Amino acid sequence: MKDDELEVWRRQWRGQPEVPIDLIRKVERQTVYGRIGLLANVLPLLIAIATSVAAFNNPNPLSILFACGLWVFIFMGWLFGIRNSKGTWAPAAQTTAAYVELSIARCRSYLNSFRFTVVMSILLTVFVLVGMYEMLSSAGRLQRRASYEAVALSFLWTIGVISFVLFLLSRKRRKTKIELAYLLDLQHKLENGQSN
Amino acid sequence: MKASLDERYHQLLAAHGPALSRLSASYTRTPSDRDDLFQDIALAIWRALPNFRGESSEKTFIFRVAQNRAVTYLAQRRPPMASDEEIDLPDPRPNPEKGFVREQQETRLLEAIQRLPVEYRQVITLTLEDMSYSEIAEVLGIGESNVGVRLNRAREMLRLLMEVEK
Repeated sequence: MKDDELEVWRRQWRGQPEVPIDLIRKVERQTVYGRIGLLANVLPLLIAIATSVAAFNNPNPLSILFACGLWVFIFMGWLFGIRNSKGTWAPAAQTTAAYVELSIARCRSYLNSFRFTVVMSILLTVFVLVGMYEMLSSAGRLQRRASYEAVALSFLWTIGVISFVLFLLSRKRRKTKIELAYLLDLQHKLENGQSN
Repeated sequence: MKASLDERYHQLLAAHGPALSRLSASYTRTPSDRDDLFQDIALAIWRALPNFRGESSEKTFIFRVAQNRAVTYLAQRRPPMASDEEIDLPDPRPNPEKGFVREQQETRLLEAIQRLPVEYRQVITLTLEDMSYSEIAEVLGIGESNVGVRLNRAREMLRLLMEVEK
């Protein structure tokens, strides 16, 4: 009787509509975008290399200090990234419970990286803007009022963009906090279920 | 190597696409949400596939990744549906707008499954996909006896929910 019931449910369950073919196509396109997205990790490295090459071609204490400073920031970022992503790449076991644990670790990792990003963004922005100002000033490019104003405007624009990005990240942070609370609750429920 | 991975991915998607779509439907309320979750699951499988070492069957692997994505989807959705926290019995009075849809048995079953707590929903959906106790235990990381306990509870709740919806 009960198996009959399960069989009826199975038939009903499988009576649901199939996956539309255009949806599968969309997924396939997204996998391509995913590969392109991996390139974004290389961008800071390219900027630091370009700055170092510029400092090598036109060596002066300021440009060398600027290039070295950028490398320090990049190394700090890498170091933090490696330490913060520890244990967030793969589940400890091939089970749903382990995947939930992994999702929790990823939420915590994001919250840590948000704090790090805020501090680093402020420090890096101050470093870059002060460095740029000093280099432009020592090269005598800020003597005309118009160029001074243009630089001030571009600095303000940079600060505005970074503030906007931090604002967007803070919204994601709120969402992550809610997600973390849900996952911790779910983990608790799953653990309780296991002990039943 | 990459070409063979891509080929395998497409084969897996073709073979298990309908089952993954049904699983997505059990965690969502609208067709567009179902499609979104399906996409998330498919992408998660694409990312996880290079790490698949063949320690379990491909079916077990696919459903493990899918269940994980579905659970994460529930966590990311704001605010969570009441049914994720507790069983919320539906209003038994006939709804003229939904009456036609609810007459369909598939829809009634799906709606009842959507109302199950997640730990029971996981077990019943995997059972309906013809997975054995040992396969379900492997996917969820719980003991086989626990699968049996959860399945019995899930069936009881499902029966009750379907009765109320009649």
